[in-house]
Amino acid sequence: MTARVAVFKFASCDGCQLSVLDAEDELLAILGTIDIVEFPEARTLREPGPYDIGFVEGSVTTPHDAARIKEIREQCKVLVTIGACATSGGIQALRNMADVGIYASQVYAHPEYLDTLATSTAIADHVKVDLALYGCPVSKEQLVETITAVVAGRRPDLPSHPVCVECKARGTVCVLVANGTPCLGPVVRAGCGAICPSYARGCYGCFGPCSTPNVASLAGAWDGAGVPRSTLIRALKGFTVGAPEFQEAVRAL
Amino acid sequence: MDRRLLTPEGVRSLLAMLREDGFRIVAPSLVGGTVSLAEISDLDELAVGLALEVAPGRTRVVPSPAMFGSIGGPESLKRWQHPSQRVIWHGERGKNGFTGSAVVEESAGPVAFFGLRACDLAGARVLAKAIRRPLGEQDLVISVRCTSSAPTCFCTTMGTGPDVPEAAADLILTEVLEPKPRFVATAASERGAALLGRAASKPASAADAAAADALVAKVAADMPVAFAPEAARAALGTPSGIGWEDIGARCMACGNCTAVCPTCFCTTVVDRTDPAATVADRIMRWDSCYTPWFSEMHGGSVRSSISARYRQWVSHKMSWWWEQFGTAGCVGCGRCIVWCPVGIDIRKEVEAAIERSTAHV
Repeated sequence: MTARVAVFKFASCDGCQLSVLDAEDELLAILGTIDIVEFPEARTLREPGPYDIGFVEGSVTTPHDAARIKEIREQCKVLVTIGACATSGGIQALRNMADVGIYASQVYAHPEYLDTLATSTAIADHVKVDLALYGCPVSKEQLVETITAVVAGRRPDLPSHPVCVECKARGTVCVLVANGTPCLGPVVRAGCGAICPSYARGCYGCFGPCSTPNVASLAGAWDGAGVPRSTLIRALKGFTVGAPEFQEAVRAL
Repeated sequence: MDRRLLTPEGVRSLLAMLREDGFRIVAPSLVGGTVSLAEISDLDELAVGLALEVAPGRTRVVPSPAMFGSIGGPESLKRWQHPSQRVIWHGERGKNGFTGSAVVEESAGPVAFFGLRACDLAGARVLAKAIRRPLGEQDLVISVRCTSSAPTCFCTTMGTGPDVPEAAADLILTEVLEPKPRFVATAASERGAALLGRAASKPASAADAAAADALVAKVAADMPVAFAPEAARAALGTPSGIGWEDIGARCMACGNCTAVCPTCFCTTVVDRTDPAATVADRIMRWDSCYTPWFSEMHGGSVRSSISARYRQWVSHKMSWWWEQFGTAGCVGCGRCIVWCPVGIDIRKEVEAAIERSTAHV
């Protein structure tokens, strides 16, 4: 029996759906066990539920979205959120700390036609989520691992520890200690494979907070590297600005 | 044993010979903006004349008058003795059902480790006892004794250095800079003697040998004793929840200390399958007592607070390790201090724990 898989889109850039398409080589191997029946980025034909696995990209930003995610949840046995928008509200959650009316009036000629919520929120704020894949965009490896694990009936290998664990496992030298490069790695969830530090760049947190982030302590290390607090606040107000742990940290800093 | 004198070129020629003999060379190298042990493919990759300026949570590469002056790089022998990830079991689904077997590691060839310090070798011994995996019999160890120390060093506190016991290495070098750079070499094994015999060397005079020993003795004498290990063992042997709030506020539970620690050996095991569901691998990976799932049981993590996780780590290193393996789990290399992004100093935390325990008596 093949698993019926659906991919849904909410407020997002479609980059995570592209990551699904980018996994084509790996997905070819799995196509005997899954049937992708709903995937707006890839096909026009749409099939109704129920679905065995539903992947949800994007955040909830309109009253229509808020109603639609509840319908989707009812249709999916396993609901998997994919990407920073679906897991924490995305970059568009910057509005959560501002007045969306001012944003809309600066972007749109006729903001009165918009029917938008004051906040951009994660899918888990609205319905129960079974598995979450983080990142902007998601990691292709984690995506394939998750589909593989769900089909095989095992627990997917999705860590919640900080990026530092991945840096050290692969033998990447700490950019913060060795070069004073500001890095969010100690407070950010692993899963990307520590890509940015491996290119001598600091982590900018697209996977969002790790399981027990201590941002207040990291702020001291950034101070020590001579980085202004405003830079740290900007870094925390990135793609996962909607994550409660980062919002709290920004308020406290 | 006989002590010989090598020129800096003579030391290079030793490494060149080892390469010709088919050894992989692991030696101090400039990697990622620091000097660290790394496998080098060319002798030009050796970090020569570079040292690390080291402080808690900070390193910078600086020029050094010594050929091999760097101390405190992130990598220890653990990287080679206990790799961060390896497949320990492999299974395949075939026509006749599912078959699986343990994966026997294939050696990538003998390794010559060059430039190891006394703490590196102590770390390898402690780790070998914990995971029952010594270095390979064909591997060769060339140690360079410390003639300087970093402010994060505390090997004299833990009784592991800076002198190198002859049983720990095949060849022991001591770099003497004045009046001109040279190395006093002691062959500590038959293989070390054979290797040294092939290099151009001359007998070291008594004065040369004394100069080398004096440099190492000075490092030992100048290094402050951080705490009494017996007092640490006693203080941390009785779990107490009092006084750990402060470290819980500073520690990020990022796991960097356990990763760079030459003796931290904890692992986790995960199962992976391929998308076609025909192949399964069981993978063993480094884990850290700082991850919440390390102590996850039914109902959640036993050590949900960061302070509880720090207490677990330092208590194991300094106290419970004795009951488990007969030594301390810490060799005083100071890597956990250097590579902690917020510069938490285990010496100060242990000292504070000792003070608390005496205050409560």
